[in-house]
Amino acid sequence: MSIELQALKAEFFDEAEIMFSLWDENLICIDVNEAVVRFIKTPKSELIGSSITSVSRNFISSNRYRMFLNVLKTGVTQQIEEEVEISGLGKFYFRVKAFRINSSLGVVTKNITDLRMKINAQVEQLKMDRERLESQNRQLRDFCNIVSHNFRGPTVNMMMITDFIERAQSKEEILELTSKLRPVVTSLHDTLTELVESIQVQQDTDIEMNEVYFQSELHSVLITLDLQVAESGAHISADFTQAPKLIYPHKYIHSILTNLVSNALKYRKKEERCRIHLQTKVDGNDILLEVRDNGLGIDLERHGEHMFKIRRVFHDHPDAKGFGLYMTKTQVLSQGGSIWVESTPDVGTVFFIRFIHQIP
Amino acid sequence: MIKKLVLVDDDEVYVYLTRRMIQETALVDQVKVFRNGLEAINFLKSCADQPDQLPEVIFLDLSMPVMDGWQFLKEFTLLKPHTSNKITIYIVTSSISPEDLTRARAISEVSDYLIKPVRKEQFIALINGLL
Repeated sequence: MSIELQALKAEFFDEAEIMFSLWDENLICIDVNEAVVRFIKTPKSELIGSSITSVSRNFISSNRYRMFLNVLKTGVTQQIEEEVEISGLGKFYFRVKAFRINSSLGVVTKNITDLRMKINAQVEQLKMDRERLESQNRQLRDFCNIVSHNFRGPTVNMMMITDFIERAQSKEEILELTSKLRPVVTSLHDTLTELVESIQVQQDTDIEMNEVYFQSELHSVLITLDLQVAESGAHISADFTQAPKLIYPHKYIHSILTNLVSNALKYRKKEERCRIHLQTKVDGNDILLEVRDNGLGIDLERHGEHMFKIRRVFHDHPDAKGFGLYMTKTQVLSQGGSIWVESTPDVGTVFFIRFIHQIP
Repeated sequence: MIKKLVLVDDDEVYVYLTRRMIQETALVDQVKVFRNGLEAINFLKSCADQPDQLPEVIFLDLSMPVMDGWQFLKEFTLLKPHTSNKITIYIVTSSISPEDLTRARAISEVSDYLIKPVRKEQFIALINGLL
């Protein structure tokens, strides 16, 4: 190689943004370029002759160390990416390539921290997008199911009634058939209203948040349920001392408490005094609400998968409509929380709601 | 003509309309109605060994309180070896969900999956097919 070319290469070596270093078979530094000097802020004279373990702390436990030994042994060029914590400088991502030159080791180190940060941010964004899409997909599937299960029924009835009316022979017959329309139309209308309400909850991402005290909200719920409470003779107790308040849409928390308490009243045992206990607990940053009753309970093995679906009822009760729990779940999910249930037939039921990010 | 048909459905209006339609065909002697799977299975259990009490045909809805159509079928499968007659079961539902259809096809006790409304002509063909 001509002197000129060698000088030119030396120029590239020092001017490069990428770090070049050369080590002997004992990993003692032979040479580094200016990029290394700039990055680790140590004069070249101090670096040359030093062991790699004194230049880079915790080096022995790193993947690069294993790779370097391997390259020296086998002569096969290798490349890895590694996260490196450098004291005083912070966390870095390096792409490191090592190759053997005679008995020495050449190392090319590229700082890819910016790139990695960008990718990480994009990955995070993609994860969030995926979660959002999955949830929207779920909602869409639920919606299709609701349309298939809940709208076809009443529509079929209306069709059949219309057919009969068309073929009716007498005024009495027509009157009788017409009277059958009322419950069908009411059911269709109710389901539609409920569905629209639940879609509004799913869409209403800017709903106003309020500071709500469980105790005062329960109080106001019990006033609206006054009649049912009196009729059932229920004993209702609450302990909100561990988590007395939360930040939540006021409308939702009112509706959630109303649904859970009225369900507990509705599905009480006839032969035993109805007891309902509400309690809040702190769990990490979340608040857990438990609503416990000694009611009829429900066979979860049988009904569990349908528990929170629209228009699904499990007890032979005249007021069972199958809407309360669907709405409750929709409201809880819209705020990122979760709801689940534990129950034993003839013993009672506990509903749990997790309100997330409530405790700073 | 068949003697006994059982309707298992909690939709009172649909039951009324179906009864009316069946009456018009004059193909069934007696229609018995149960509002959920449990009532129906309890009835079948109570008369499993009385051939004259058992229905020839069951129209079974899927979505019902207390015990739905699927659970009824599970219970029925256990009961079947102890019943003295052959009972033909049709699922009769308003659900057009392909998942329900696939699930029904996998159950050997189910003869067919009918989507409501079952019209008179269809009903007549169905009963004639059984005779």
